[in-house]
Amino acid sequence: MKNKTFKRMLAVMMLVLSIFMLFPYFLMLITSVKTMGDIQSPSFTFIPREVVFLNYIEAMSRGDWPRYFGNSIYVTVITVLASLMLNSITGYAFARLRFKGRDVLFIIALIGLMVPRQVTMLPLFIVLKNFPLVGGNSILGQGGHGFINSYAGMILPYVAGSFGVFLFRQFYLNFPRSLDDAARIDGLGRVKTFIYIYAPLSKPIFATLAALKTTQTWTEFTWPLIITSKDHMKTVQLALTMFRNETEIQWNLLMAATTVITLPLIIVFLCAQKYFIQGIVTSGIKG
Amino acid sequence: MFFRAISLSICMVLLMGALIGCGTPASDHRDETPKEAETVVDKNKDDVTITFWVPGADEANDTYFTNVAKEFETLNPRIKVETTVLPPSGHDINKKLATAMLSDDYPDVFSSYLGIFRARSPKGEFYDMTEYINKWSDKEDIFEGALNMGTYKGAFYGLAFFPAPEIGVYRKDYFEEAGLEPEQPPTTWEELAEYARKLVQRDNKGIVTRAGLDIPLMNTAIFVRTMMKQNGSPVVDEEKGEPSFTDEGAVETLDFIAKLAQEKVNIPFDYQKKVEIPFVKGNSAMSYLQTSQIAQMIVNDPSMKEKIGFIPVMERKKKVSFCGYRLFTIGAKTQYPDEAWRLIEFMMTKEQMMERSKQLNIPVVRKSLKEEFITLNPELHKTILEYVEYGKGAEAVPWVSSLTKKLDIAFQEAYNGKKSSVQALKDAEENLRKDLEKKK
Repeated sequence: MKNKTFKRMLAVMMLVLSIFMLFPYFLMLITSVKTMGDIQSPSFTFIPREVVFLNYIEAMSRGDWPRYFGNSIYVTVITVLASLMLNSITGYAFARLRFKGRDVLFIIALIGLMVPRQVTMLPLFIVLKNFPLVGGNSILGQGGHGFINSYAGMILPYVAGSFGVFLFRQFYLNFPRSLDDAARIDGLGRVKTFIYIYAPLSKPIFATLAALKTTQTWTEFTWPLIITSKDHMKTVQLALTMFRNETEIQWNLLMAATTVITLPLIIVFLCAQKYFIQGIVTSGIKG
Repeated sequence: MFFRAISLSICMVLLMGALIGCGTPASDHRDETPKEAETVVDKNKDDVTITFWVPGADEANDTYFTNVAKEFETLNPRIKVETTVLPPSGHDINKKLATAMLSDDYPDVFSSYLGIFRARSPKGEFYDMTEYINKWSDKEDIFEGALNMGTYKGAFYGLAFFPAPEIGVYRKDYFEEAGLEPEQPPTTWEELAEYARKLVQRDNKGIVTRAGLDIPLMNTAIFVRTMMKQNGSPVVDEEKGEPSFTDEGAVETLDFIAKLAQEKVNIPFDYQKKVEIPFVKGNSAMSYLQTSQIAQMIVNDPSMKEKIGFIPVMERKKKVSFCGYRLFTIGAKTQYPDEAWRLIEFMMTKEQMMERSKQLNIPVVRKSLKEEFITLNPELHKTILEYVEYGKGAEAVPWVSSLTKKLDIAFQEAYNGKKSSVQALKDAEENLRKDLEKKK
């Protein structure tokens, strides 16, 4: 009986929390179908006085949205795939291989988690600008523009990431040592052990990192802002600035466009939800 | 087998991504090394590409500046203009400029906000345009105030083309409700305060439901500074490059505003967040707004055209208004100053200036276009030009943001009764001088 009451209370609490979490999204949807007159009226109303779905058409007809979506999808897909590959291999090496300086290297990687991104942004920009033999640069990284104004410039900084390495390492630490022994007896080397044994068992953690990386890359604003200068390189986040000027924000159009650009993220989360929860749980348990 | 296939496809995608991603569009002149670019110019002096950065606003603004660059290209076939529409926020623009400066990627022509111009011109980021402007035959036709906006230490580093005055506005219908004459706006400080007291509406708990006058309680400095100047305070001694706001006029001003705010004739808001200004939401009877905000209010509710009236520029000891600007500048490291100037010259022609007025509601800065501009919308444009004429922008010192912060603190201290206005300003000036000394 007690258990039942507790479960009911828990359900109610979850419902309240869900409403609380969904409220901003609900406000976004409501604002996206309001008129500006309605938004700026002295009294705030939840229900729009007039529902204007045309806001969506107006928002999407401004600028080259197919291009902006194409850019964001391209950058996100490549970043997620590359980072999954690199982080999983690195995490595996830190968790399962014994080599000199492993722990020191891991601590160095962890330091990356503690430095705010704003601090590393300028040095990173200069590194990418002076990258040798790219974008007209000489071997000394001079003379050209390196990775500035290129997709690679937007992708590379997000490919590596201490968080992903940490996540994979924690996950792989859970595996019993006997698994490696069995693989070795079966004649598998380190690489094959990773590919045939570890990777197939890592679906939850791959899904978790994929979801997190997708969100991070898709919603990034500052880095694409400083690394690109051209309209045809704009990502969806940069394109959102079209709906504001120095003094005014067209909230209805901005919210309509925001609703549209959050859809891919929602789809990714819905697809990865099962594994995502599993991944969060398993990576937190030390074996 | 399955994972081998997955791994292979991932590798293929990554390889393709790397190949496509590393490449930049063929049309990108930045792919050329400067050495190559110079060779192109040397061989054929006529073929150059210049970059033009302009802050975004609305669709009309972005389209105009993109198209005008194309029009310029048609008239000057040897010059290609690569236009970049920046996000409108000054914060984002500063980030882009900082990285562009470090990477020698600064635009050849940049349409700068006055605040950005004031902060960056002392750092040597802009090209000295004095020679070009002095030789320019139309120089005499430009308003003196607008011309002066582009100077730093006697040299021209920018050319103002877009005045953005903050105009005094009032609601005629609210005036009528309060028993005031709707066609007679306040003309003195005393009238402004008296009208604010009459116009304010409160509920039975004493909470202001409609402000009599918009007095910002956060980021108040611009509001305070303009009134200090109206009261004869220099605020900054620009010749000496020193703060100067402890005089009688400045103290009286701070006292006046702080006491009026203490009477609660206003609804608190942040002056930086223009979208939150109570007047825009119909929650205030008097305010100071930019022309774009007034235009947007009329678009949102056409009846506002009849309801909004304009307050003339206030005068106590001097007639002063706040007028922000945008200026055309040339990047200090440009390889093509002649071409950059030619683009600016084109933008400043009478035709383009009038076109901007018609399409984007941007006030003119040419004396010869004054009448034509007024005929477009007599009541509003006459007021706009008065505000432009008496307009003062941000002070021409590199430490303008520190000044703003110190004045904000002084206002807070006076408003909260923590210090008297005299003491608050004395402390603010002393702290500012200390900060400047440290920087030296």
